[in-house]
Order: sequence, then structure tokens, then C-alpha cells
Amino acid sequence: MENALSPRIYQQVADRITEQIRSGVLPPGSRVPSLRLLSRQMGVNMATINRAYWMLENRGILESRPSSGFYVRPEAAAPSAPSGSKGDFPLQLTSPKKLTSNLETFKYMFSALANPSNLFVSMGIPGLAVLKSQSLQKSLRSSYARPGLKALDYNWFLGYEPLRRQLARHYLDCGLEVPPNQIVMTSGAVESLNVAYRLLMRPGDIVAVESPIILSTMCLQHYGVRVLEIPSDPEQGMDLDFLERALKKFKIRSCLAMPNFRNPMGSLMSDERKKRLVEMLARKGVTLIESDVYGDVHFGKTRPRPAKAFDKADNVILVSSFSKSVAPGVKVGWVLAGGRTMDVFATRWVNTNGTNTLMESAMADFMERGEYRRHLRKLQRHCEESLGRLTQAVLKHFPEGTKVGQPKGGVVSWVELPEKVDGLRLHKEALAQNILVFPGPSFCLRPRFRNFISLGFGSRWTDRLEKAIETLGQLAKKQLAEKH
Amino acid sequence: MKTSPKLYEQVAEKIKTQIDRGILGPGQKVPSVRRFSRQLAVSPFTVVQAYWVLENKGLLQSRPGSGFYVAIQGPLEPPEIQPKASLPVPPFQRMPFDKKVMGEVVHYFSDKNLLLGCPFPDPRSVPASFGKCLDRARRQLGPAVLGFNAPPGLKELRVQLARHYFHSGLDLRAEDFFLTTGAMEAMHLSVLSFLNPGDTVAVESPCFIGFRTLLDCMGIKVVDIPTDHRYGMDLGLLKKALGRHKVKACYAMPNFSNPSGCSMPDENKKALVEMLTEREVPLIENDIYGDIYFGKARPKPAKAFDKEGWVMLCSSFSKTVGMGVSVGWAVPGRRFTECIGLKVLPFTPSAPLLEKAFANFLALGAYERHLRQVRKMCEDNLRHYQETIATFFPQETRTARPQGGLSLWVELPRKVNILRLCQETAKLGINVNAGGVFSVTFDYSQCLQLYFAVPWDEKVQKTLKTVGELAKKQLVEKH
Repeated sequence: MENALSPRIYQQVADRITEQIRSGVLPPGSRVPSLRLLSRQMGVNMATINRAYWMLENRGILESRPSSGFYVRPEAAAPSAPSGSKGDFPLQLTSPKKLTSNLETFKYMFSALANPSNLFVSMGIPGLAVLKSQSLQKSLRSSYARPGLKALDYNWFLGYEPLRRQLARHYLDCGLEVPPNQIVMTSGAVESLNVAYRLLMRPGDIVAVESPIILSTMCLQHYGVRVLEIPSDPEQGMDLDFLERALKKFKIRSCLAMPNFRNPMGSLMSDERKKRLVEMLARKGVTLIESDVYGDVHFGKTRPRPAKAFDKADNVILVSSFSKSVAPGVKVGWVLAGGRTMDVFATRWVNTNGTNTLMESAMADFMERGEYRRHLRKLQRHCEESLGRLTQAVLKHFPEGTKVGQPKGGVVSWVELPEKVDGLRLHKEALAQNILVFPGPSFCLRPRFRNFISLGFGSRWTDRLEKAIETLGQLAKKQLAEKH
Repeated sequence: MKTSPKLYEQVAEKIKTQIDRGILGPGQKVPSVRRFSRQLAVSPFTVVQAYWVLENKGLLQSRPGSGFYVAIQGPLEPPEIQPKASLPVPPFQRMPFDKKVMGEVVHYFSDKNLLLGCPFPDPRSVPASFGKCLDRARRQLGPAVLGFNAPPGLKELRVQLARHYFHSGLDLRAEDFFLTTGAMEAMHLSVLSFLNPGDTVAVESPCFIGFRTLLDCMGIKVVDIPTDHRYGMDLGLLKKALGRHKVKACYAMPNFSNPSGCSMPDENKKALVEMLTEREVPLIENDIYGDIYFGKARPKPAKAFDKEGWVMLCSSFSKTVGMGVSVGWAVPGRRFTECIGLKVLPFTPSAPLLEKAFANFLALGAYERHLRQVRKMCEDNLRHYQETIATFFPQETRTARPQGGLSLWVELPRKVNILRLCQETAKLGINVNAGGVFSVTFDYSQCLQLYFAVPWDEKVQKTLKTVGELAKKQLVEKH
């Protein structure tokens, strides 16, 4: 049976080779089996093996020597996974006021973001260059072409109906059956989240969130709720045992999670874990707010299912948008709330009243013509390649012992530097050189992840990016040298 | 010697007879001065005098640039609001987040037949020039069309807006604005920037449901301040309420309020702003209908009287261009930094295409041209509504006389059960808003709110007529 998470064959080949290198069977400098040999041995197409090797080369694990074959790169060990937020994690609440305690430190980051001369290397949004914008422009034109002028059509209820139908069809392919009239459109990912917050959060409530948190979690300050951080692992996602203990100790009202390619770690929960999460919360009557913005950007063969697909008790509210899979300027998001659709609608109505019909009708056209699928395939390939290039660059330029996460989707990777490197200092020194990188401490409410940074791989790989990674590496190395 | 009536009196008598006999019906145009004078072989001035006499008696109405019309029958008066003296200072209350109310709202929205419950202009009335501006913006932006504008939004559009307001008697700079996805977001951010759960806000009553629901969602308490149809918000009561309760903010629509349609005279706007400034209470001003005025000049927003930055002006293009174009703005005065902060974190940038398109639309003067058409259409619609109500609704029905906006407030006789009426009309696919949902303190259960945003045609007339007939049917039953 095909699992949603089963990797493509070339990935399986690559994993096998990586494992051999890690365990020392294939030491640095040794030749790996020829394409022909391995293809015969494994019974797969030569092109598949070639793709696997090419990917490993991209990641800096193999190198090809002309007319000789592929060799394990002498200097590069395979990337090892960074650690998550496990260990001595306290079961502790954070009051609403404290939610913004580290906010002030990072407010200037957004002005840095608006400055075009800064290169933003932690970007959680794919670069515009990937998008075949001609095609989307065609959809846009169709939305305000006369006759019809769909752009200005009455659109006050749940949102542009043809788009909701397209989305319902899209979700069907992701293993989630949702009728179009249970999809409420919003004006973007942040509004989707805000609508869910506004609907569920009451002052004094306890909300469980994954740690490291995402920046929009800080919006919770407006709702007067207390936050409980749940540690999570860069590969498996939320620590469910910890959550179970937390559920016993506290009366938790809702839980925020991003099971598919969670920013900033890129972690992916397995179907079993998603199921366990949903069931565990349903038993306690805790609503799960699931953000699925990166779900469509997956490298595996099939799209990972949202946790909402396991939701039998109508206890999961799924929020998503096109800003992470297409472009931020689309400003179209949605909320799937099952039986609470009307409440979600009412809440959105209070937030922003109408939504952006112009973009909604353009996106409906974009999906209808199959362009969204095509775009996703391209984006997936592109992100995977960029991740390889990024990994290679980090392993090359960063101090020894740096660990780079290898997410199976999304556009962000979590990087653990040697313990003595101060991520915040790195961030400040890099900004002086016009490189904007998010340090680990910006993702948590308590001093933690000091030696972590997040790096995005959604943009097209350029020399400028390569150079920026090199600079970051040098700055980190300089810190290490000083301490000795 | 018996003095014969003056010539103009005779002419007036002639017209009056025609009206009494029903030959000239309510809302119909009377013969033009020139034609009538030729017909009767009297001087045009005599006819004008006759028409003035009739206008003074309330039988005729003059419409500038159009001529004289037979006045619409029935006293067009505001709903009875109890005299000020006997009104106690309203207690603050929390409006329950009423699922029933929301259910009704949802019902209007879900229905395909949006005629009377629709507060947005008909998409058909959007000029082709806007489509052109969109296309131009798309070409100008190129691939950046999918990028984003960081808060406070496209400078070009903010400059155009400042210019637009300058023509309304309000001096603003582009730096005073930030752009939002609509007026509702502008108000939402304004509220978030300084109000906390448990605070109290004084709101005009009847009050726009969206704003009330917003306050309620945030756990904010409300003091209802009644409005008078000629002066808008009752400032005397507001003053008392400010003294009695710890009011943290005030909400009003000084120009063509939704739903009551009433406006504040400039002196009252000024007094309101001064009263609030003195107490350092911010005014959240919803000016979304300000551009749809029927008079000669655009009424000033209350913001025009704001010297110290206590007024937070919120508005959008959704009522003038269409609701699918979600661009709004706020001028939050001294709360600017806080509001921008709320746009910056979480990072909610805005879409470049629409902002650019509107910048083009305003720069080309096409918006102003479009507004002229909208105003004319709405004024015509209102007249048709008034006529139809006068003809087909129960006799004691009264309506407000809005001088702009899109909302008509109608008061029906006591014996008509409005909720039942709404249910009955809903079954026929007709949506009207029951007045009862607009306030908890005051009783508007005899009121109906109608929007006159859609272009008038037979279908609209028929729909409106059906509402009137259903109301009449209720009256007959009771006897």
C-alpha cells in the first residue's frame, strides 16, 4: 500500500547511499557503485539512479569525476539532523503580557525586511522567480475582463464559489473530503489564523503551541490567553507524549499545530502521529487549529494529508492560504471549519467583511486550467534543488559540527550551529552586512535555541545567496575563534 | 368689493385640484414652468410663485436642476425616539454574540436574491474605466503584481487619497494614511490598537451591526447613544454618558449613518470632536458613505475638526466601487504607530494590484466621474423607494429622509410584526433587515432597514411592493 509519506524511488536510493556513508561503509573519497551496477542490483531505471546521484551531488555528498563516476566527497559528511526542543522542557505557562517580551527586540526586523538592499535568507515564502507569472497574469486578466467583470461580483458570503469548488477538489486529492460550502475564504493566511483565534480564544484560556513558535503566534497577545509551549522534533514534529502530560495537568482549550512542514523546522508528522494528535485532543474536547500552508510544497510523491483528514469528531479547524505556495501578493486564504462554518463566517465578517474577489476569481481560473498543479510540481522540484544547494553551501562554509535539517517539503530549514555560536549576535552582525537571518531566539518565548538559525530555500539559488551563506559561515567561525 | 384671488393663487389652486384628484401622483413631475406659463398664458414668474406656495404647503418638492415634483404623501418623519429629557443615561451592556442575529445576516448573504438587503453597489454599475485601470496596473507592475506592499501600503494611492480628502475640506498628508483590506479591517485595527476586553465604548444607536459584533467578539461593553434624524448622535446624552461611565472610545458615522441614514451638521461634528478631545477619548469615525451625498458638496468628515489627532477615520471603496475590491484605509491620528504595528506583526502586507489600480483610478479623475454617477443613481433610487413606499406600504408608514448613503430607515405601524414580516419576505427570497437587531438598549422593533444600492427597475419595484403588501396583510388580519 502506498503511504502518503512514502518517498519517491530516487529518494529511497539516495537515502540508502546516505546511510552507507554515515555508517562508514562508503568512506570519504571512495567510489560509489556505477549507475549501471546499482540499477541492475536494485532493479530500477538508470535514470532514477542518476537522479539520486545528482541530488546527492547537489547536497554536497557526492562528487562526479569526469569519465570516472561518482565519489563520496572527501570533506563532506552527510548532514546530520539538528536537535529540537526536547530535553529539560518545562511544563510552564506564559502569560499574555510575556508573549511579546521578545517582540520588541525583533520589531526592527520588519523594517529590515522592507529594505530592498537587505537579502532575506530566512524567507518562509517561495521566491517570485519560480512562478510562471504569465500564466497567473492571464488568470488575472480573465477576472476583470468584460463581460462578466467577475472581479466585482457580489461575494459576500463564504467567498467566490468557483474557487471554493476548486479547493474542495484539491483537498479531495489530499485525502480530505470537504464540501465547498464548508470553506470560508479570507484575505490571507494571517487573517485565516486571526479568524480562528477570534472564534476560539477567550481571555484566560490556555493554548498549547509547538515550540519553536511561529511569529504569528505572538498575535495571541490580543486575546488574553496563556500559552503553553510543547517541544517538537525537527523530523517528527510535536512531542505527543509531552502534550499528553500537559493535557492531564492543564485545562487546555485549544492547540495550534502545523503538522506539514512546520516553519521554522520543516518537520512533518506521520499519518499515525497526526491521527494520535487529533484523537488525543478530541477526547479532551480541545480544538486543534491546524495551519496547512506548506502542505502543497512537498517533495514526496503524494501530498501529506492534513490532520483534518483524521478528524472524525469535527474538532479540527484548518487554516491555509496561497501565500506560501504561490505568492504573498495573492492575499487569498481560507478556513475549513466543518460544523462551525457559520461561526467562522461571522467572525471573518467582523474582521474584514468582504474578501478579495478579484484575486479569488483569478485563482479559481488558475486552478481550473491545471496551472496550479503545474506550478506546484515546478515549485517542488525547485525547492528540493535549492535545499540541496543550501545544504551544500552550509556544510562547506559553516563551522564544523553545524547541523542542517533536511525537511521533506516546505521552504525553511532549521540549522543548529556549534553551541558556542550566538545566533542573535550572528543575526546582528549579518544585518550590518545587509543579510537578514532569523535567529533561533526569535522563535521562542523563553531564552532558548541560542545557537540556531533558520534558512529558507524557496528562492532561486543565486551567487548572491551562496555568498551570503559564506558570509554567515565566516561570521560564525569568527565567533568560535574568538572564544578560544 | 370682493377681492378675487391673486393670479398665482388661482394657478396654485389648479395644480392642487389635479393632485387631489390623483391626476398628478406622488413623486410625479409637474409641468415645467415655461410650458405651464405658455399653456395658461400667464407669466413664468406667476407659475413659479404658485409652485412656491405649494412647496411651502408641502404639496410640491423642488429638485435643483430638475424642476418641481408632487411631494410624496404621508409624513416622512423619523421614527419616534423618546424625548431627550426623559431619557436616562443608557446603561452599558454587552450585546450577546447573538447567533440568531448572525443567522439572519448569513441568511441575507446566502440568498441569491439580494435586492433590498444589499449594501453594495451593483457590479453592473462599475465603469469600464476601472477595468482599464486594473489592466494598466497589472502591466505597470509586471511580475511584482504578486509581490506585496509593506504597510502602510502604496504611497501613490495614499497621495491620491490625501488629495481626494483635500477636496472634502480635510487636510491630510499621505503619511497619515495606512491602507487596509477594507473599512472593517481599518476599524478592527483601530479598536485593537487601544481597547482591551472589559472596556466600554459609546456607540451611536441604531448602530452598524458589524461594528457591534466586533466589539462583542472582543469582550468590549457598549453604551448606546440614541440618534436624532436631523442631528445624528445625541450629544447631550453622550456628555452625560461620558460623565457616568468610563468610556474609552466613541463610534459614529457622522455622514449618512448605517442604518438610520441620519447625518450630523458640521457644528455637531465639531462639538462632538471637541467634547471627546477634552476628555482624550478617541472617536472611531466610519466615513464609508461620505462620498455618496445628494447635496451640493461633500459633507466634511468629523476628522476635519480634529486638531489633536483623537479621531480615527476609517473608510473604503467597497460602497462606491464594489465589495470585491477590498481596499480600505485608516487615518488613525495619534494611534498611527500602534495601528501600523498591528499590520507589521503579524506581517499582513497588502496586494499591490488593487492599490495600484485605485491609484490610477483616482489619478485619472475616473473615480470622481464614477462617483457622480453613483450619487445620481442612488438619489434616483431613493426617490423611487419613497414613492413606492408611499403608495404600497401601510398608511402610517414613515421613512427617514437621508441626504446620502445607501440606507433607508423605515418605521411601520405598531400593529405590524416586523420579525414576522422579515420571515415572510425571506420565504419569497426577499431580504430586508429588521430594525430590532441594531440596538439592545432602544427598541427599533418597528423599523426596517432597506438599502437602495441596486439600480431601479421593475423587479425592484415589485419586490418592494410585495414587502408593503405583506405588511398591509398583517394589518387586515388584526381587525
